[in-house]
Amino acid sequence: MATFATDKEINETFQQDVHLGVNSFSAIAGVEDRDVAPATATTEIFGRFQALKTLLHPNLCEYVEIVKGKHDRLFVVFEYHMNHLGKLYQRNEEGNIQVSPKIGIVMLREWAFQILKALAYLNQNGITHHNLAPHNILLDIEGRVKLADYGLYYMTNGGEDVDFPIGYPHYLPPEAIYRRADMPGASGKVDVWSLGVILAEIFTGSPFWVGNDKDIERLFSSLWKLQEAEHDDDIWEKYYIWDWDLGINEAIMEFLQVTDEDDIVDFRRFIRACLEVNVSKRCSPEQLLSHPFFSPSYEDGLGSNYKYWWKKPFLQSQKIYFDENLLELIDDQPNKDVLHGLPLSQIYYFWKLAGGDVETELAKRGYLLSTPPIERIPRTVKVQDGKEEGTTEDTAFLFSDNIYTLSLKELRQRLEVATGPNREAFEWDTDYFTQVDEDDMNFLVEEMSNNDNSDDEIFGKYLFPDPNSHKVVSSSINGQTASPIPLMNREKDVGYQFQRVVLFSELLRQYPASRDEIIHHAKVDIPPFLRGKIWAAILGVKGDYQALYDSYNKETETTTDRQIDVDVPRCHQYNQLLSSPIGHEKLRRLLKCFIAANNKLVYWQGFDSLCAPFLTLNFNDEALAFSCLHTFVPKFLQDFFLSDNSPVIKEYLAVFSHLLSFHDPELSDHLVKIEYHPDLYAIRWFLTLFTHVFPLDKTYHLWDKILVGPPSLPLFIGISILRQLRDMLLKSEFNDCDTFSESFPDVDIEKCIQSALSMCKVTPPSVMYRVHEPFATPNSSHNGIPDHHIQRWWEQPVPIEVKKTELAPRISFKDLAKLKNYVLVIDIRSEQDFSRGHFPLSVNMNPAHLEQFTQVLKQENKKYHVVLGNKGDSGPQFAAELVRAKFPRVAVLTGGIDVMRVDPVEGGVSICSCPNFTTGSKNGSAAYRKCRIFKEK
Amino acid sequence: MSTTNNRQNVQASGKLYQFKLVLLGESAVGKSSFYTVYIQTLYIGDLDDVFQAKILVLRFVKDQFDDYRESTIGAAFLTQTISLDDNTTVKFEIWDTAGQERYKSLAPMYYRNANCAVVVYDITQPSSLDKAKSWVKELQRQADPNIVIALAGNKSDLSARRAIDSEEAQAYAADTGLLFFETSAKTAVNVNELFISIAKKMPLEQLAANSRGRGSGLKQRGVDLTSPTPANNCSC
Repeated sequence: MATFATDKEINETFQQDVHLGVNSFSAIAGVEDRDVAPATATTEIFGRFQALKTLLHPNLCEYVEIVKGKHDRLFVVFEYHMNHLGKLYQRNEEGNIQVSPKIGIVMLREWAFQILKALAYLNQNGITHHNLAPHNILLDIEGRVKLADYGLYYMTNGGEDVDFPIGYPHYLPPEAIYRRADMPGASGKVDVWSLGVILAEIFTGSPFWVGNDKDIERLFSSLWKLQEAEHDDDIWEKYYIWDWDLGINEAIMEFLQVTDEDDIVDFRRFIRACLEVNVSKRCSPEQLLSHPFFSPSYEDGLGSNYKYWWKKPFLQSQKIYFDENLLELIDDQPNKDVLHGLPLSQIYYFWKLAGGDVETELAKRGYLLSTPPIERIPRTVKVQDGKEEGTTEDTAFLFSDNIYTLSLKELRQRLEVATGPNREAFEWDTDYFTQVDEDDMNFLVEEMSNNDNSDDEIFGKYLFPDPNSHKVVSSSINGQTASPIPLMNREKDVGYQFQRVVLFSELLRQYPASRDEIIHHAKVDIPPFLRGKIWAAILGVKGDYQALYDSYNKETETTTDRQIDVDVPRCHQYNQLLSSPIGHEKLRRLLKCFIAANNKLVYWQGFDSLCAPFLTLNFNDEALAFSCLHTFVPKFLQDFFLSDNSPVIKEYLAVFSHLLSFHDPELSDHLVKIEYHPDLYAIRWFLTLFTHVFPLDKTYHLWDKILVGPPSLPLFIGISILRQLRDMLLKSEFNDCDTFSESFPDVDIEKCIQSALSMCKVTPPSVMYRVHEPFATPNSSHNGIPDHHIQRWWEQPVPIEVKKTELAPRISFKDLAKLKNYVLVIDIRSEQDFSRGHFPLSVNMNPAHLEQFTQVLKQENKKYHVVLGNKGDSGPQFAAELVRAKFPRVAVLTGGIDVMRVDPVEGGVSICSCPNFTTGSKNGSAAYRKCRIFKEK
Repeated sequence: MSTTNNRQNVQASGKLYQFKLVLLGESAVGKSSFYTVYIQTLYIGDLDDVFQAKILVLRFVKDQFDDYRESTIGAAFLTQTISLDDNTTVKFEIWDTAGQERYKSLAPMYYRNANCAVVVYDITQPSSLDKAKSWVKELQRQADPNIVIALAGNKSDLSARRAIDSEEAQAYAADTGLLFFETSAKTAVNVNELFISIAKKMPLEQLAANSRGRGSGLKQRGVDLTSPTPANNCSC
């Protein structure tokens, strides 16, 4: 099954008449006697909103995004259609509202049915509309009902988080006004009442309630009277309610009171059912769908044919006001719209990239004119009858149900240019992995070409040949290195992102079959809009991950709970999603699920940070976030979360130190001198893969590359960080390093990744070999150990305590052989041993004479320096001296000369036993010999 | 002020004392907030001028105390130098450790050579005192025998939720020979007092500079009293 085939973010299609609407409000103002602080309320709304984005129903407008603006003002972006039932309402000359023209039963039935379907869907998802009114019952271009504004009540926690009431009193039932709506089972029924009122109004052509809409007092007293009468049955059929002076329009009353069996009896019964005063007797939207009003035309497979109802001859939709501009738009460009077929969330994303910003947009149009603070000082005067005079509405703080539509004109223009024939071409920087420096080694390319018979899945897959790389290489030969457009610019370029999103949407729809291609393209860069799913695809998440997630127990209390509970509210709290109460719940569940799913692993502080990227990117899909984490940890942090992880971490840090001395001997030497060891600062780097070090936006970019890169990449990223701060560190003593230990505001992630990859390219795999490496096997090619059944002395892994004390790493003969053109092998055995056999072109010297020969050795001008000795001699110490003498890329040959004897021919290199090596230089008693012959075999 | 000049100044005209302080205690008792406050104190005031410093600290802390400070993983450290007078400079190296029990095995690396330790518990969390006691035991067994240990019952601003008796902790501290304060990192109550008591108990003469044997060139960074930049602006 294609995992993301039905995903809303890549599939929902955009129709031409759809608009992006925005409305805006603020959370409760900071009133002292409330429990909730305004900032907290804003965050809470922000968190609750996220679930609304996942709703998908043909009769609901989609929620697209929530944006926090200045002063914590919130902007909600959603699907909007210009046509709505509010357009049937007009004021006549006396200022009274009239509904005209009358709409027939057939139409009303269709609307009612679709509205109820939408409401029932909302109820299933635990949402009550509570805000239903004619103007938010929208009609799309095909006349289909689309409810808008249905999430306000839900996202504000039933109105708790805002200062304004939610719902239009004229359409609210008695129990909503008198706070009885909280009773169990009552929630969805509020909307049924509203629906009844609206339909009655449209049918009779008269507003339900008499009088103008400011006469709230009378309305409330009427609703109270009705509330009091909740135990009277069939109240609308009783004549005595005429005496209650309810202020209901006569036309409505007359309609409701008819008891004859006429041709609209079912409709009337339906309205009465909607207007049942007793909420416990009132039907839910779900129940009403089977009301006789909807049969017989609906009785077979309810609504299965509603999709095409508007084509039938009894249509009366032409009576609805129609937006003419909309028609023009459609006539002008039939199916030429670049946005056609895109999900709304994508359109909004591109709109932002094209320079759109909801807050600025609304401010520009004057909708957000906020009163200067001085003007806001209360100038209210209380006059005698208790009325307040002088208060002016400040649009910046009050809720207004005005909906503003975002203009997509500029976006369309930008995209037409970007997708047109004269578009800017982007240089894709795939050379990260494959660009070959003519004068240097590239182990990544090596491995790629040798990969044919390798069964090492991961190692083979992070490399790919790229047609562009040749171009890059050739241009660098001409002295002009092609400089790709920086990642930051590409991410902000709407045309580029459009192409990337289109490409990846298509690939994701075909996932998992398209996984290799996704990985291929992801190496260039990952479009932020689809990052969560692309990561999941790269990690290979597939199958029914929801069922997997559901199968683990996330509820039972465990001993880890306390630690999780103190860490979750501290995890990346600058992030809106993670700081919301919903975010806390989700993170907690995710952590508990991971522990439940991995009985060997335990919760280490910092694991919360590791979850943060996956959770923020898949906030509405915890199961996907979990599955990503579940496949990520074994790949990148195998055994890091064992209850005893110290062997793993110690080894990792030892390799890290080796790589530092390998690539930056001077810095390495300095840090060793001032005793600034990796265990003081780097544990949290690797344990959390930098999530505890960098803010999330930087982490995303880092992980974009870690996910498609070689497994050792995190080590090199660590070294890149040190090297970016090199100048500062070289000047520092231990005590000055504190500024370094917390966070790195100035670290440039893109440069960091580039330098990490270029170091990675030139690093022989055996140099960074780890026993605890995820895919290490005794025969692993990384170790350079051939598939023997007899274990040689050098095939024993170096004990960690020894490894820690050594400054330089070990290299395998296999890797050394590949380096033959770039390496200077320094043989520290005796002259006799050397003359009996040595590495071709190697030099031989007494390790005690390094000082005399430093210059001579440096003049050899080789990129790698490998020490060759006998078993148990001073090779590692000598290598350490080379590091201290600032020789780059120093390593010790594992197995020394013995390994060459066992494996006489490796990569075209064999022991040279030429007698005619020359004495390169003499300095007192110190001698320096060099082999001058290199015979390829 | 260049570091070279400063070093010469110190060498020429004054004494340099250096001490290493380690913060230990259960997770989320407020260790990291504690040292934020402490560092701010050092920036702002002179140890002798407690009153003035406290006022200032209160003002700063109100803006900067972060209820949701990111957890500490492994350890974090910070150094600070203050001039007591023209002739005396004291350098603090403050180590903040992870609170989770699992990280315990790393702790010896951090309290090695520490001159003083502040063991923090949360007065609203009964288990945190037990944890503090076990830290004290470990320090007395494994750390430098001359280490000065202070016990701090933090979050005294939350006295309504108090779960640990002052007297009980006080008695334990007296029995075990610890300094004891109930503190609030949030409002800075007793934070200064705690550190001043530690300072008074430190045998300064034994703490001549370079006691840790870390290279010979101990550089100084000047203390700029005019710009109290937040010492610990963790943005991760």
